[in-house]
Amino acid sequence: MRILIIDDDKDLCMLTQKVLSKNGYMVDAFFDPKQAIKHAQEKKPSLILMDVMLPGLSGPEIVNSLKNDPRFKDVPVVFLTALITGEDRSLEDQGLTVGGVQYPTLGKPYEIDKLLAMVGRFIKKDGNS
Amino acid sequence: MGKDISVLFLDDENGTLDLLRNDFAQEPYGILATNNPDQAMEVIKKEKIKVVLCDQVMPKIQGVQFLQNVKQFDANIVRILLTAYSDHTVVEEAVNIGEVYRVIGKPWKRPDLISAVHRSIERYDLTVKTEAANQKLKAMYEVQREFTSVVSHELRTPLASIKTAIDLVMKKTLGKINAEQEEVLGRAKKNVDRLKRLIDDILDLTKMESGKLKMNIMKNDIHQAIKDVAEGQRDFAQGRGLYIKTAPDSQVPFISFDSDRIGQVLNNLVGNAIKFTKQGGITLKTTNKYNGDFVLVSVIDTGKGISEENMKKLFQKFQQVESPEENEEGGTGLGLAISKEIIGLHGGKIWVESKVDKGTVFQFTLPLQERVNTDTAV
Repeated sequence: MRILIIDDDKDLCMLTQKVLSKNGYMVDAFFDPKQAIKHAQEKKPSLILMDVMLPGLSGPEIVNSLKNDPRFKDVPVVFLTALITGEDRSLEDQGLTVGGVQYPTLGKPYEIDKLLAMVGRFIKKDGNS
Repeated sequence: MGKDISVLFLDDENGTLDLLRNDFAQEPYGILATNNPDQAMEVIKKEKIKVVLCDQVMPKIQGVQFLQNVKQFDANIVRILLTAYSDHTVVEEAVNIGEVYRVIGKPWKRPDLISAVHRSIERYDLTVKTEAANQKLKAMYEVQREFTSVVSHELRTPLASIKTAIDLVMKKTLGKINAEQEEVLGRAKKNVDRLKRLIDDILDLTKMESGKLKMNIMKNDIHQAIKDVAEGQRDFAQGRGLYIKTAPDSQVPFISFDSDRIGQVLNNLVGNAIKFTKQGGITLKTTNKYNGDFVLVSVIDTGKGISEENMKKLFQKFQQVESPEENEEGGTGLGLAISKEIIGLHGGKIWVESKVDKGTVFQFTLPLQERVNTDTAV
């Protein structure tokens, strides 16, 4: 059970990794979306936590390309973004829509408790990692 | 010669046209006097005509009809009807259909006509100027909104790392910290959180001011909204030894409002009331049929009250009457400005009444009937 983090903000990427690993999750963190996808294809994650505005490939583009692959159909995706303005509601309330699917979205800066609750909704911790 | 044609006369009598050409020869603007409605319309479409004066009784077209056509082409062109008839149906039609600026009886006095035309030109120029200014303002709001949105994203990104780092240490996830370290970090955390709220509030307010905030207005129970806020703030109030109670008017029906946004307003008002009340408490009250067509919501506290002078500044941006106590969440100074915008977008009003040492009542109204047109231009 591994979480894949994709965020080009290196500081936050490392901090988020620390938050999750200190709370008992196995985490792989990537700044570069292309490397992250390559990694995901080799080692299928149980949850992907990613930024929306990424260099080269945007978060929604990554989702689109991954969701075309049947192996990733049921891998949950959570967006983490500093871009909180949806059209009328905030993205956090609304979720970010990609390909007609609404993905849960957490605004940056996030509350650690909220992040842990969100992750906990999708995966159980490994026994002793 | 060399004067731009600004005024157009349409009359079927050539004698009248000659007279007009003569009368207006000395004026600083050019005129065109014609008996041909088709030619007149062509000129209106080509030249920058500001005023059209038109006879009522003509063989090809009625004056009112012609002026209505002018209005449809460009409503800014000021329209005047000239008529020898004192028949009031003509005047009625001129006003109701042609939406004319003046009706002038024939025969007219030269100075009267010249002054009417003069005023019409002023009126046209003013309208056009106002419209241009309005357009410019709208464009500026749009630029400001985009700028704010980008800045907000750019501020949030570094803030996210600062907050997560502080929270990680504060939560003792990385190991124990001593009381002094916790106190110092606690002050940093408080201010980081405040900065985050400030960025959110500025973004909210900018969206509202530029008319970009979409409301999710639907039939809702205002008493449920009030109950939710009272429950949500109960711990905060009781922690300070204050009561929080509701006094709903059972006659209040379901009304149309955005429950998230009205919740935001109520939370803001109740939060403020708690912060500035030392003993007693807060009452949330509703009144049906206030001023006939509104529901009145009152947030009543038994706090220290607000002076006349401070009351005037309350709804302005970044106006904080008093800094909160030590260890208390500071406000952003935008809460009431945002509340005012939200209530305004609902078609209601918000105001405050207060007596020093007696307490303060914040009140707002929400319309009982949904407004048909919610389009609020800048």
